[in-house]
This record gives sequence, C-alpha cells and structure tokens, in this order.
Amino acid sequence: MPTSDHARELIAALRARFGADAVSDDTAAFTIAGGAPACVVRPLQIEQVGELLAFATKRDWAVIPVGNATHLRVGAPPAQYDIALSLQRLARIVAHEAADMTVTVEAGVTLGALNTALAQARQWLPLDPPLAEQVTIGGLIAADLNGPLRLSQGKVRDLLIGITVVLADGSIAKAGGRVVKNVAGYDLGKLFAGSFGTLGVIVEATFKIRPCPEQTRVLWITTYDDQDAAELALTLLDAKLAPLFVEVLNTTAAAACGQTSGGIALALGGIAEELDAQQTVIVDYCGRSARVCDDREAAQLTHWLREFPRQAAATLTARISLLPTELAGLLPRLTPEAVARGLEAAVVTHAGNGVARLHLRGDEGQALLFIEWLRIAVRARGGWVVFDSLPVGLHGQVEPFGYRTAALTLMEGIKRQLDPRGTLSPGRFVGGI
Amino acid sequence: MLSAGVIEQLRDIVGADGVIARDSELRVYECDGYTLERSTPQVVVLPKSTAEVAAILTVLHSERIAFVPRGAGTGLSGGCLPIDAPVMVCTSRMKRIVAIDFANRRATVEAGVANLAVTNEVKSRGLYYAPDPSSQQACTIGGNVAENSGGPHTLKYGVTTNHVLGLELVLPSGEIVQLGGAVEDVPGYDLVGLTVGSEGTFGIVTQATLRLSRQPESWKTLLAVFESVNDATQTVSGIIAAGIVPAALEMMDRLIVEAIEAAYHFGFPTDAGAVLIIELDGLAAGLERQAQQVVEICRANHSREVKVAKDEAERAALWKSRKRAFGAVGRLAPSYCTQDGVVPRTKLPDILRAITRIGVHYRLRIANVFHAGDGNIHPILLYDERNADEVERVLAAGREILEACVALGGSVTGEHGIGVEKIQQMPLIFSPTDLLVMQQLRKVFDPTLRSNPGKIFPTPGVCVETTRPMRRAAM
Ligand SMILES: Cc1cc2nc3c(=O)[nH]c(=O)nc-3n(C[C@H](O)[C@H](O)[C@H](O)COP(=O)(O)OP(=O)(O)OC[C@H]3O[C@@H](n4cnc5c(N)ncnc54)[C@H](O)[C@@H]3O)c2cc1C
Ligand SMILES: Cc1cc2nc3c(=O)[nH]c(=O)nc-3n(C[C@H](O)[C@H](O)[C@H](O)COP(=O)(O)OP(=O)(O)OC[C@H]3O[C@@H](n4cnc5c(N)ncnc54)[C@H](O)[C@@H]3O)c2cc1C
Repeated sequence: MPTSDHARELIAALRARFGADAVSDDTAAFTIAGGAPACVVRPLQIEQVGELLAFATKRDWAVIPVGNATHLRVGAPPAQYDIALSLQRLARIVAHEAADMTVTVEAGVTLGALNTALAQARQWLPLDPPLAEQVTIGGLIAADLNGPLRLSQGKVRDLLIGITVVLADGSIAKAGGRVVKNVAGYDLGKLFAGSFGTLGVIVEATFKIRPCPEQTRVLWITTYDDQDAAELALTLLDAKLAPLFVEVLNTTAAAACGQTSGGIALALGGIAEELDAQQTVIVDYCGRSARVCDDREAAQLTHWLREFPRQAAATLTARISLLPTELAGLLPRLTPEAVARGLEAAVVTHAGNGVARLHLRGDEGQALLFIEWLRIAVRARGGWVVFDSLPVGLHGQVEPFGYRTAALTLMEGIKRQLDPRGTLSPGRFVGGI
Repeated sequence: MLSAGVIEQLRDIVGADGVIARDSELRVYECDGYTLERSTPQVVVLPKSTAEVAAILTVLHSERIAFVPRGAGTGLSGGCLPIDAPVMVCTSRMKRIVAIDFANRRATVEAGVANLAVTNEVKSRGLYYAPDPSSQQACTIGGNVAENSGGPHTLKYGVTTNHVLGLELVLPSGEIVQLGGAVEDVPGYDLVGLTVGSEGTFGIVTQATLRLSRQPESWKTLLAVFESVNDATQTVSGIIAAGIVPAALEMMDRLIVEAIEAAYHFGFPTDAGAVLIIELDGLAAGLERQAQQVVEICRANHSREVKVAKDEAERAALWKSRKRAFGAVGRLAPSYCTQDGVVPRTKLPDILRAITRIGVHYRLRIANVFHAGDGNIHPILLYDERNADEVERVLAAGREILEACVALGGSVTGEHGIGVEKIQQMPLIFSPTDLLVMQQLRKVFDPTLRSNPGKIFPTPGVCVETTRPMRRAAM
C-alpha cells in the first residue's frame, strides 16, 4: 500500500490535473482487506475517466473502479491499490425509450434510482441483488449481481445490449448498441459482465427492460427436511408453472427470516387468471403445507431473500454452482457437515439455477476445514464454489475463486491485451488476474 | 497452392473419403446462402471427431495455413466464403448427440448437429431447443453459435447466446479448450458469451452444451391482415408498448405473401398490404385475455381481419409457410439478396418507408418478411445475376438500407452476421477504437489470424474489392 510520501505526490499530481474538488484523500470507505488507496477520484465526465486512466497507467499506479463500495470486498485483495476511481458523479439516465423497452444509463446511477424512474412507465430492469438502492449499474455489471429473479428474468448478460468502457490506456470503446437484437461485432458486454473491474471501467450501459408484472403473489411451502425441500423444489420446477422465483431455505435460514421450519418460497407474477391457475397446481401438489403469504409477509420475505447475501454476521459467505439435481443431492449434507465442526450454516438456493448461497458462522479454523470439504464435494459433483467474502484471517489461505482450467490461459491473455501494465484492479480476479 | 504433403497429412487424419480436392466436387462449397460472391477452397476436410479437428488444426498451425470453418453453408453474409484460406473444415460428419440430461434440461451435441435435430431428440419429453432460425432443418449448432442466430420465437425466449452454457473449442493452434460448462456461474470471464457470435474467428467449435426449454402449455396463433404496411408496423409498436411480449411477432408484405401463396396455398389474402403472425404462448390461463387485448390493438390500427389458428394443424401450416418464405422467393426472381438491419421497434414504420423509397430509386423489387417484434428487418432484394447493372443497383440499395437503419439508431445485422457482406458497414456503427479492441480480443484466440480471415473487420485493401460480386470466381 502507498507510503505517505507516495500518496502526497500522487494527490498533488492528480489535483493539478483534475482539479482539487475531484480528488479526495478521505479514503476510509474504500478500504479493501485493510488496505486504503492514496486517494479517491470522482470524475464528472466520461472523458475524464479516460484521462485519469491514461495518466495512471503511464505512472504504473493501480486503479480500482468503485460504484458505491457496497461489494468491494468481493474478490481477492488487490496486489496494488493507489487510486479509487468513483463513478458516483456519472449518474445520468441518458435515454429511457419506454415504447422500445430499452434504457441507457451512466455507470454511477443506482439500480434503485433506475427502477424508480422506469416504474413510471410500469417497466423494470428485473435484477434483484442486495442493496439495490446503493448498487450502481457499473457495480451491478462488474460483479454480475443478481438474486432470486434470475430464474425467470436471467442475469446481467441476458439483459445488457450495449456497453461503453474506458480501457487502461484511456481509450473509450463501445460494443452492442441500443437495439434488442444485434450481432455486429464481438459481444463485449458479455466479457465485462462479471469482470470485477479488471478489464476496463464501465461508464455507460444499455439494457432491454421488461413490463412489470400486473400482480405478484408469494407462497410459502413448509417442508420436512432439507432433502424433502430440495426434491419438492425440483418437482415444482417441472410442473406447469412459470414462477418468478423458487428459493429453498434450510432451517437456519428459515429461522432467520421468521419461519418455524425450512421450506420453499415461491413467487408468481402475471395477470390474476395466471396466478390463480398456478396456485391451484401448487396446492394440489403440496396440500396444506403450502400457504399464500399476505402482502406484508410477501414483501418481507421477498426483501429478506434479496438481502440474504449481505447479512453482516457471517464469518464467510460462499456461492455454490452445480447442476440443479446435483445441488439437490448435496444440500442435505451441508448442514450436518457444518454442525459436525461446530459451525452454523444458513443456506438459500436458487433451486432452478443450481446456485446456492451459504453463510457460515463460527471458528475460523473449523471454517477452513469445512471449506476444504466443500471444495472437494462440489468439484466431485462437477461444480464450483466462490467465496464472496472471507475473514481477514483466511485471506491468503483460501483463494476466493479456486479456478484452474485451460481457459484460464485465455483469460490471462485477454487481461494482457486490454490492460497490459496491470493498472486495473490487479490481482483481484480468478487465477490472480 | 497447398502442397501435396499437407493434403496427404490431412488424408491420414480423416481418411480418403474425408478429403475433397476435386474441382467438380469443390464447387458445392464456393458460397453459402449469400451468393453474390463466390470463391472455391483448395481442399475441404470432413473430420468426424474433436480429436480429428485438433489434429487437422495442428497440421495447419505448423504449416501456417489459414482455414475456414463451415457448417451447413446456410449463412447469409458470406461467413464461410474462403478468403485467403485454402482449407475449409466442414462439420457435416460431426452429428453426434453426445449426452442429454432431461432432469437438468441440458443437451451436449457435436457442432454439425442440425438445429432441429436437437428438438426432435427431446420433444417426446416435452422439451425443445428454443432458438429456431427459419433454416433450422439444415443449419448446424456450430453455425448458430458462430452467428448467434435468432428466429421467429427468439423475441420472447432469447437468441442463441441465451441458450448456450458451454463450448468445446479447438483453437487455431490445435489446442482443445472447454469454455463455460453445464453449470451456471462458472468462475472467470464469460468466454462462452464472447465466442458466441464471433463468426468462426476464434477457432472451430466442436461441441456445445445447450439449455433446453419446456414446451409452453398452450399457444394462441393469430393472423392479422392489414391494408397497409404502415398499419401493420403501428400495430407492432402498439403491442410492445402495451407491455405484451408475444412469443413471436412476424410481418410479411404483399409481395412475399403472393409468393408464399403461389407456392404453398395456405390461404393468405393476396390483396392485403401486409399480414402479421402473432403468437402468444405460456400458461393456458390468461392467454385468452391477452389474445383479446392483441385483437383490440389490431383493430385500433385498422386491421381488416384477425384470424385465430383453430387447431395445432393450422398453426403448424402457418409456421411452415412463414419459415419457407425464402424458398418461395425463387418464384419471384432468379436471385435475391436478404438484408438484416435492425431498428428500435418504434422506428419500423420509418425504415419501411425508407425501403420503399430506396426500391423505387434503384428500380428494384423488394419483398419484406421479418422479425417485427425485435425490429429486425429482412428486405429481400430481387434481381437477376446475369444483369450486371442490376447487381450494382442491388449492392447500392442494400448499403443505403443499412445506412438508414443506423441513422434511425439501429444496427446493420440482427442475426445474419457481418461475414464479408457487411464489412464496409462496420465503421458506420463502430469507431476505429471499438474495432481495434475487438481485434485485440481475437488475437488472444488466434494470434496469427488464420481462423476465417477476411471476415468482420474492415482491412485496408480488401475494402474496395468486397463490393465487387464474384471477384474471386477465377481464383
Ligand atoms: C454473487 C455476489 C455475492 C455477493 N455477496 C456479498 C456479500 O455477501 N457481502 C458483501 O458485502 N458483498 C457481497 N457482494 C458484493 C457486491 O459485489 C457489491 O456489493 C456490489 O457490486 C456493489 O455495487 P457497487 O456499485 O457498490 O460496486 P462496488 O462495490 O463499488 O464494486 C463492486 C465491483 O465492481 C467493480 N466496479 C464497480 N464499478 C465499476 C465500473 N463502473 N466499471 C468497472 N468495474 C466496476 C469494482 O471494482 C468491484 O470489483 C456480492 C457480490 C456478488 C457478485
Ligand atoms: C432460408 C434461410 C432462412 C434463414 N433464417 C434464419 C433465421 O431465421 N435466423 C437466423 O439467425 N439466421 C437465419 N438464416 C441464416 C443461417 O441459417 C444461420 O446463420 C445459421 O446459423 C448458419 O448455420 P450453418 O450451419 O449453415 O453455418 P455456415 O453457413 O456453414 O457458417 C456460418 C458461419 O459460421 C461459421 N461456423 C460454422 N460452423 C462452425 C464451427 N463449428 N465452429 C466455428 N465456426 C463455425 C462459419 O465459418 C461461418 O462464418 C437463414 C438462412 C437461410 C438460407
């Protein structure tokens, strides 16, 4: 991390170039794994982002793009960190074409602000990560954020149709456009979705958006145990239903959101006839263990599920991805393996996607043993585990991504092509990219 | 010229029947569905497995020879036209369905499997592969991946990239890499997303893991008849603006309806200005109300009549007519060229007016059949190949149509790709920096630019030439 001399010199140089009000040395909110940058720069225009990156790259200063710093701890600690580049002041909704169902925004707009604006036309960008009010569009894309709705609405990659990025050398590049179907040139948007600030700074994006469902309804289905829940969820996913989401909660997770035992939260959306018909199907399958939540409980449950990845109290959080049936097979083993090590595990799964989020609480040494078991168990079933947040004590002992395949060489090649001097978020991504 | 030694090595890999080198047999491979330009490869190789593809590319790598991948050759932008690439690698013998996982709705297939073959394999279990290009009986999954192909039903369900989870890719060096996989959220950059739509410039895709979808419980297919193209396109905007997302929303104008009717006798009204095929699908409950809403929007835009397909047979016949529209065009003229621009959907009336104007100006007949819900137009320019002057006018009119799309905020290709056809139009939508970044990415996969050279990116020198039809016929 920067020495104070280095920091002073850097701040002086940046202030001289970008004006005093764009450069701040109040970096407390931008710390990653205990390390603070020398300063925070808040550009007002896309061109300034380019100037700053060109300036930093020439001097081998490392830059990390930051939205609202809500998800900064995701990823490995940076190898070097001189400048936090905040996109907060690039916050315009450039164009909302309601009749075309597209919207173009700058990276610093928050998802909450965007969806408030779209709601006036009864439309939404149907992504539901935690802290929607604070998550910026840049952070949303870079961290590939999503939530329960991904089952029916897809992920960032499915909704993003155009992107503008600033590369490490300061050049501004775009791909895609503002039309919903377009195959001209390579699809750079896909590359930047989930790139964690390592390839370029996202400054503007265009999404296809969707009409809001006319009505929504949430059902809670009580289950006997984790295995019962996992299997029932798969059955429901195979039934004549088109749910917005299907989430499985283990007992610990269910208790945390006020339910008396583990179960399934299932949301429906559409017009009344559709909701009624589906509700009948579900009740036919589940009998009295299924009940329709009243408005208050529905809102509370939906909110809780969305915010689950952000629960502060956990020692560590992980994401598991497997084929849905494999995840259903692994799920009943997670809680006993944690309990056997004196740990508490809250697990919520996006059952139809084969993705589980796990919060582990307890002793770090035991957690490390559990992590080792988990990696082996998940790999044996053909899936992956990513650790979104790790206690400082385990940094260096656990590689957050744990990913090694031949494709990594291509990923390293892409990083070298776009950021040859390693200016952007060095060391934060898979394989130390 | 390729040396006899190289051809010998290729024969050793794929067997004598897997190498085509006789002039008469090579003619089949001189163009794809874009017939304005032709060029014959020196040799076509037909591997039967990933291992054979890897062995072929290893030989070509050590000899520094360029190659062009080919599937079924139904592409409409000259994507598999050999340009400075002596060897064509064709996947037509790689038709194995490798694995189907019904419970998780995944299929892994070889690149040469036809799009419709995937659906045929799984439909008895109520599943299907959603992207449905009109060429789906013939076109291959490898070609679909290369072009990021769409189809009538991709309006609601998304195009190829939304349904491909994993790829097996043989790099031009001969190395085999796995990108993505059967599970979601594979860590790392989304190399599958980058490779889909890269038009064969990253190497040869040998297998793909696809997401299968469950057939909708129910359909409602409507045929709405209008006096004018303008009324039909206003209806499209009206439906989208009402927040209805149909499974498909297709438009055909009078010229194409006449041709289809003459060929297939479906019962389309040949005196109508335009027809829309509107398909709603999903849960049975609620479809009725949505259909009513659509009918009202049609009426508000002066539809002459709206018919609902009364049973599955009528629905199937309607779609068959739509999907064979291109085939019927043969009745209208000896040759045709299809454009593939996209505009924001609210700009459809503007672009169709522009197309009419351009047709009049260049004295060309232009038929329209297209994916209206996506704003993806397919004006079909009719001409006679033997008339050199008409060919020049077709090329000029095509360029003007694409320029008009861009001026309206759109793009030059929605699903057919850039290929050789639209290389000059790339600078209309991308800056030199944008194009440079894409080329830097290409180098990661293909550092010596030997996989499908001469495609997508304008290179000085090639620039003027590509507008000349059949310039390479003598090669
Ligand atoms: C699956 C998942 C689970 C998560 N779970 C947790 C959790 O349990 N607890 C927790 O605290 N956080 C979690 N996060 C963190 C989450 O990443 C951030 O909270 C979210 O990205 C914040 O949005 P932001 O605008 O504040 O971005 P930031 O937090 O500021 O940035 C997030 C990432 O995006 C990059 N970035 C931001 N803006 C840009 C841009 N314009 N261009 C390029 N790169 C940019 C940053 O460099 C950083 O890598 C999770 C993230 C993911 C993906
Ligand atoms: C009548 C007709 C209707 C059509 N309708 C539609 C439609 O509705 N929607 C649509 O999107 N398209 C449509 N098309 C265009 C065409 O069918 C698609 O582009 C299709 O995906 C091409 O597949 P193919 O196997 O024929 O590929 P080819 O034409 O053989 O090749 C196309 C491109 O893919 C590359 N390629 C092929 N295989 C591989 C591989 N294994 N690895 C790497 N690169 C490869 C080639 O090099 C070339 O660049 C239509 C074409 C016709 C003739």
